[in-house]
Order: sequence, then structure tokens, then C-alpha cells
Amino acid sequence: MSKNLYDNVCEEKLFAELFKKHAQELHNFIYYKYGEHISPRDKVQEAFIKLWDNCKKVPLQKTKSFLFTIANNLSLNQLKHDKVKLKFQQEDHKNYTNQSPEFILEEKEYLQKYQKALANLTEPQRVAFLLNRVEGKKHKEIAALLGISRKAVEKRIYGALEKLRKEIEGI
Amino acid sequence: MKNKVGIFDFKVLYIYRNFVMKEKDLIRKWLDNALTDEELKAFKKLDAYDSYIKISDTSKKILPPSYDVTEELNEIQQHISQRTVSKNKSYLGILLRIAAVFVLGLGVYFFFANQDTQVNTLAGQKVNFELPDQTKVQLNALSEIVYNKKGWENNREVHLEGEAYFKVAKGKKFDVHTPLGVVTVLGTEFNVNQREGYFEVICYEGLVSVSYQQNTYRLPPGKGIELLSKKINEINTQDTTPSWIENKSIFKSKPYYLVLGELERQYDVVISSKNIDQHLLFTGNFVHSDIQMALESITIPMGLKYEINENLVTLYKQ
Repeated sequence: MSKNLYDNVCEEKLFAELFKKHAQELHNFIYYKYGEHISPRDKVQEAFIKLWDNCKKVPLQKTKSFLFTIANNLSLNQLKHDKVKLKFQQEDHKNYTNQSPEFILEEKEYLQKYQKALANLTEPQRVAFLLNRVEGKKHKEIAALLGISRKAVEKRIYGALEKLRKEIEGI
Repeated sequence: MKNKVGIFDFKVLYIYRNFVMKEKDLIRKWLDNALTDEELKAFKKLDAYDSYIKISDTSKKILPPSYDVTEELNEIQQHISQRTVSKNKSYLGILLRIAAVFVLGLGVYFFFANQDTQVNTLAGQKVNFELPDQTKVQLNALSEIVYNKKGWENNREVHLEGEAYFKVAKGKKFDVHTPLGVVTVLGTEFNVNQREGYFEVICYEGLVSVSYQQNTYRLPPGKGIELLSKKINEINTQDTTPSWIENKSIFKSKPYYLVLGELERQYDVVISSKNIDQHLLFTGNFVHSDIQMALESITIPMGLKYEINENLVTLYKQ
């Protein structure tokens, strides 16, 4: 068994490294899962503070799962079971000056439908799908992150895609 | 049966399966960015290709709220360092609190440990209790015992005012201090009565030694001494316990004021007895349960009458 350089994360430098490594990912994960109204930023902060408080008890290899579990639990505590509403990036219209108003309107409608369809996905489906599509994560990575099999991830993402398509196109 | 169908059928099945599964597999592979060039071409030929691409492209427009890792890290580091400081403070605070509790506890302990335990009775009240070594004490009305629990085993000492009956547990010497003398015993039963210049010790079991002024008297069971008008008299008794334990006061040739005093204590009354010679000797008894009967018991032999007015009793000659 290889010996770990650090037994725990009670080292400010190491803590900072861990933060840089995981904070963004954790933030986005919480966002995809619960939306913005639970303020994922705060959840990340709280999770890392918990990590710092328990730095002696948490081995380095387990910090990531510790952080994700804590942030998830904190979010669940607060969750008011609202529909998750994810925001879209505003198009920079300057680049599309020659677009017809019809096209812009259609695009707007499409986005609305999309948002609604996204909210209607089950939570596991949405999380897996967004991690895959938005973050560009491989199925294997998502499987590791969620602690499920690769096959299950594939199923969730595919299911999400089909559901989105059917709902958006009104099939 | 299936073996007989042959390789050909199996191949058809395979091709069919391949055809059906193809679309799903292609999409799944596409989702994992794992399509080969050939498969990509096939994927592009799918009917729903456009909508898949659009969905995928649109999903990329979903924007998690901007998250500045460096800034967030600064914030959390600031928070943690602040908290560490305040935590240190609170550690000190907790330490101080613990120290304060200890100091207080010790203070209270010493205060009470060094404090004497006091047991007293009101008029008309009798109390049974035990000393730390299980010595049994019965305290008659309007009496007081003071002792100190600390080091009791080595220093069995009580201070008594009034009257009490002791059943002393075996052990080292047991002292009863009264304003008039010291009674010292080993394990025994005895009664000490000290009231209004009267001092009486009666031994019921064991051996009791009484020091009065410079003299020491040793009392075997059934013997007692009394100090009356500064004179020491010996007492003999057949009783095994003092009479007041059985809610009765028995007097043998006692000055009348002692009788009245005891009645006052047992019934919580005040007796006014003008023009009556209180030094006359009285022999007789009264009960502690019925004031009428008790008063009759002590007035009739003396040729007196009584009147009760609330808790004031007036005695007068007939």
C-alpha cells in the first residue's frame, strides 16, 4: 500500500489546492442538481468549511466524496422542492445582426420549451445529462462522481436526451 | 431445437438486432463522444440528427452562475482565519468557564464541608435522624444539635442544647458537648437533658462518662446523674428508654418550673403562673398528645386550676 504524503487536509496550502481543484466542479454539480435558488456558491463555501473543521478526520482520498456529500446534504436540507430553473446564456445579438425577427422569436420559444423540458427531467437524468453536455464529461467520469455504474450513466443521459427531444418537439 | 435452425438464422437475427440497436447505440456513443468517423456518418443520417444536435448545442448555453474560484478561495480563507482567531478566543472562554465552575465547586465544597450540620426542632416537634456513622439520635422538642460531618470517624462530637436520646454506634469515643458538661461514651444508649440550668444524663446501655467541672462520673446502665441547683444527684431508673420517646414526660421530685418548661415545649404554649412557687417538687407525668389531660395531670396534684386562651395558659390557685 502506498503511503499518503498527507494524512489529512489540515494544511492551508493543501486546502487551497483542493479548493482550486474541486470548487468549480462542486459548484456546477450543485447548480445542475438543485438550480440557483439554493445558492450553490454558499453550499460550496459551507462544504469546504466543514472540510476544514473536520480536516483531521477526512483522509485526502476521501475529500472529494466528503465535499460532494456535504454540499448535497446541505442543499437537501434547504430544498423547497421548487422546479429547477436553469438559466441560459444571453446571446450576443451583435454577432447576428442579419437574423430575422422570426428567427429570434423562434429561438426564444425554443429556449422556453427547453427550459421547461429540462425542469421536467428527473433529477438524476438532468444531473447526468448536464454534466455530460455542458461540462463535457465522459460517462466514466460521471459514473465515478455519482458513484454509479457507467451503464447507468449512459442510460440516464440517453433517457434525458430522448425525453427532451420528445417534449420539445411535442412528439 | 435452436441448434437445428442453423447459422443462417442466427445471422439474420444478428443483423436485425444490429439494425435496431444501431440507432440507440449510435446516440449513446455520440453522447460519450466516442463515435468513429464511420459511425459519425451513420449518426448524421439519422432522422432526428438535427434535433439532437440542437438539443446538445442549446444545452451548452446553460450557464452556471459565474464562479470565481480565486475569489471564493480568498473568501473562505479569510473566513477560516477569522474563525480560528475567534475559536481561540472561545477556547480561552471555555477554559475560563471550566475553571470558574471548578473554583465555584471547590468553594461550595469547602464551604459546606467546613460548615456544621445543624438539626433543630420546634416546640411540640420531635425528630429522629442519624449521624454519619449511623448513630441514631432522637431530638426532643425545642432542641438543637450541631455537628460536623468532616472527619466524623475520628472526631465524633456533637453540640447539644435541649434534650436528646442517643443510640451510639460502636467506634471511637463519642462526645456530647452541652453548655453544662461533656458526656463521653463508646457505643451505648443514653439520654442527655440540659435545660435552664438543669442537666441530666441517664445511661440505658453501655457505659457513659460525664465530665462536669473537674469531676468525671461513670454511669452503668440504669444509672444517671442530674445537676439540680448546682448539686449533683444520682438517678436510678428501670426504664430502657427515656419516657419522652413514648410521648410522655415523667418527673420524679423535679422542681415545678422544669415541668412547666417541658409542657411549654411539648405543646408550644406559654404558661403564665404568677403567685405560684415554682421550686416545689413535682412527681408525676403528662402525655404529649392531649393538652387538657396533660394540664390536668400537672395541676390537680398541685391544687391548681388552669385556663387556656389560644396558646396562652394561665395557672392559678383554687
